[in-house]
Amino acid sequence: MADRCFSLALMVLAVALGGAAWQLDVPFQYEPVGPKAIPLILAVLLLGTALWLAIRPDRLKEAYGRSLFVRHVVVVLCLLVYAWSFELLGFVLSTWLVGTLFARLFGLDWGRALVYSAALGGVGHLVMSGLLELNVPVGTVFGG
Amino acid sequence: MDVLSTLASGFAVALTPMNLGLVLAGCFFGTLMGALPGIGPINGIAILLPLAYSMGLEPASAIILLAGVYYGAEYGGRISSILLNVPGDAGAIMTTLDGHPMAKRGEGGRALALSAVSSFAGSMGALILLVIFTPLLTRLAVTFGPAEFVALMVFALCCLASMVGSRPVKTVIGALIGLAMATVGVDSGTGVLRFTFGLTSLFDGIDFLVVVIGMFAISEILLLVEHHYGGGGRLEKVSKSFVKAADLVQVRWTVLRSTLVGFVIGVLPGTGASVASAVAYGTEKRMAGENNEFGNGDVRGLAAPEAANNSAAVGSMVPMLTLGIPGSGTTAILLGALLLFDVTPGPLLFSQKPDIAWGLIASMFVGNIALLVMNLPLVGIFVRMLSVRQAYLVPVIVMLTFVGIYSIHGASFDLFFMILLGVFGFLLRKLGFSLAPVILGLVLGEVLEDNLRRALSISAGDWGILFNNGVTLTLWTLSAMVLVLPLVMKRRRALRQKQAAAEA
Repeated sequence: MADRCFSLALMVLAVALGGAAWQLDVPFQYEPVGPKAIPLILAVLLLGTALWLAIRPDRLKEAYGRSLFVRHVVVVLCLLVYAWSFELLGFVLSTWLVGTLFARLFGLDWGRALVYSAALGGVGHLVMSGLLELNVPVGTVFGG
Repeated sequence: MDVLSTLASGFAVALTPMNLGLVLAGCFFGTLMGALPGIGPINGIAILLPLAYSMGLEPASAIILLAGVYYGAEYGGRISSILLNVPGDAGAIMTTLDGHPMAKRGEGGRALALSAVSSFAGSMGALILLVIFTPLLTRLAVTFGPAEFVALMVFALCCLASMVGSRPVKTVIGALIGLAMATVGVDSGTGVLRFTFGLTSLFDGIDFLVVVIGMFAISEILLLVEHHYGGGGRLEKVSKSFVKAADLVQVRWTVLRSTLVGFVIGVLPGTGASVASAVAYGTEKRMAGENNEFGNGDVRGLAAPEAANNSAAVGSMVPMLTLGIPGSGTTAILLGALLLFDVTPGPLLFSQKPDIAWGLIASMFVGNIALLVMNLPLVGIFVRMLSVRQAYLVPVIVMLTFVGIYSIHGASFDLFFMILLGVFGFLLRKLGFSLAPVILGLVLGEVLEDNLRRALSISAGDWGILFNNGVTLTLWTLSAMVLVLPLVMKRRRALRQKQAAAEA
């Protein structure tokens, strides 16, 4: 069932890819193959293989429970919060915040999670920004 | 003689203090990454690649570091296989079969030491083969034109479809997704924007690093959640036992054969360490006949996959360096890394950038010696690392991926896009797709299209140019054979089983 749903999505994607490629027009070109040829070939192949997958799907043995889905949603939300807060709060604060959430999710108690993530943010900043001279945001709320 | 002098100049590059330090760091980090269950060489390189790029390392230094992580992880994969019965990466799956039973009966130290020596022998043997065969292949590849490269890339993709994963159709779909991703951005031939949806961040195409980190590292974090709540393996104690001379004598031919098998399989495009270790294990098991303990802690069953997977890791560098065609998912990332540093792998690499090509090869000799030295006395440290809780590990991985991606362009868009690709990669992995074809498609996509368009420009649009000489015809025939033969053999096997069942 999962394979069939996915192959349906792939077929929609293939049609969209082919449709968009068909509309790629250039006023003039110096070569016989334009920008649309390869995407069109790929769209046709993708449509064909997705159709094949829909006809002969795999029987997936793994069960995917609701509790696992909730945990995955939490992980994705944490990652989105990190991405959103990375520039806004800066590296140290956002790492502290999201590091704590991840440490909690993987079984650390609140106290240890807070201390560990604070250390990770601080040491990480020293290493990444100071030692390796990488572009690490200070945070727009701090004028960075 | 010529090869030896160029190799000597490679050692001059590899033994500079900076590069030597990077080899050692890469090997240590790689062993650690390989030892941690589920992380493996691809994720290790994926996490380090943006950091290496942002740190402004010289191309030779960066590739030396990343290659160190690669073969270090092939070494490290065996530690959790033996002690936890959980393979560190796909290439170490076969090591669990005999390594873990040895650890269970109190011979963990012997198993770890023997596997380290076998890994070393496999790598060194393959490196010698690489030094011999690379110049020969380079000389052949220099004669390749665009049409030959198109046929070669199709061959690489066909090899991938028939050898990676359990379902060829899923492998093909993965490669097509990667190839489609490669078409995003400004078309180099006409300047037309393709599939950018008006987003200026996509004008330069989908960033290779964002795809690699998203699909491998972010999806890995989602998988780690599953492993965490699903329960982990029990760590076996490492005994004081050590490898004996008798063991080494017993496995000498096994190691030699497995090194050859691993190298040949590694050189074939699309296959990798996992296929090599499985084939080497199967070969040794068959050759052992009745007199074997395979599956219950036979030293040959431990030595064979370890020699083969390390040999394959080296072998997969050959097509990457000489033809610009990656031999495995991990070398696809290394190939992408070279392109990031404006270095184009291929036949001209050895004449135009010998410091990079030979520096990398020489660094692999140095790295393998370092790994053996590191792995015999320091194995206790890596073992202790296995017991580090994921609660401490995951925040570090998340932090490294975010800093790595952000420091490339300083744009939050890349972070959000990385998460999106991570969720997509996770979905693909849950549905039984291998991610290596996606990366291979992404890396080969632009080169394939460029060569196809160049070939058709030369022939004024005549597609016959793709089939007009012996090299292209051979490659097309091999592609067809690679696709058709497994299907024919599968059908024949099924038919034979049916007949046997009917007779019974």
